[in-house]
Amino acid sequence: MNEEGEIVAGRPAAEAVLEGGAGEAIRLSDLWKDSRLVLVFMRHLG
Amino acid sequence: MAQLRRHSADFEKRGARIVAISPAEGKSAKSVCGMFNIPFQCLGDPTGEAYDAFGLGRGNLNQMFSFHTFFRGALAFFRGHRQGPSLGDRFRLPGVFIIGPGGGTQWAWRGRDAADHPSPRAILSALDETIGGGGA
Repeated sequence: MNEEGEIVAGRPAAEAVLEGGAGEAIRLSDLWKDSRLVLVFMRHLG
Repeated sequence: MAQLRRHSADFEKRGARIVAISPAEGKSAKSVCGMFNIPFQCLGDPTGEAYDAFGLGRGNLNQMFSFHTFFRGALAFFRGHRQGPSLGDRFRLPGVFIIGPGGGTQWAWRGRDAADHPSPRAILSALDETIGGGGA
């Protein structure tokens, strides 16, 4: 398992628009407005 | 996701919110998360815009079907984990990023192949380290 991540303090996160459960558009920047965010990009869910 | 689900209280304690992104449509992502009782917000990225923006490309055949991917899959199976359906672009590589409330990336982890995932412990440790470092 590759456990080594990269500390990249302060580099602005990329912006993108995602799709919610009802097909609504959700901006990534709206997700990290109020709290620290752990974004987990998956290949599959489960 | 099952491992992250077991550690969800540890993430909450650190004031961190987990959002899972799938290369599927939002409706499918939400439906699969419900099926597996995943307590995090699940969103879809069917166009791959976010994967591309975070530098998560498409894997080659070796990154999808290597000995390592089969070994990790078999190990997870014998531990009782069952993989949810692969929806959307099946060749997308995984990744995990910690973003501060100001929008600054604090930690970046990109999978080397389809079965490469950091443990919850590694993510929690990165959270502790970035909190200690006072990242954005």
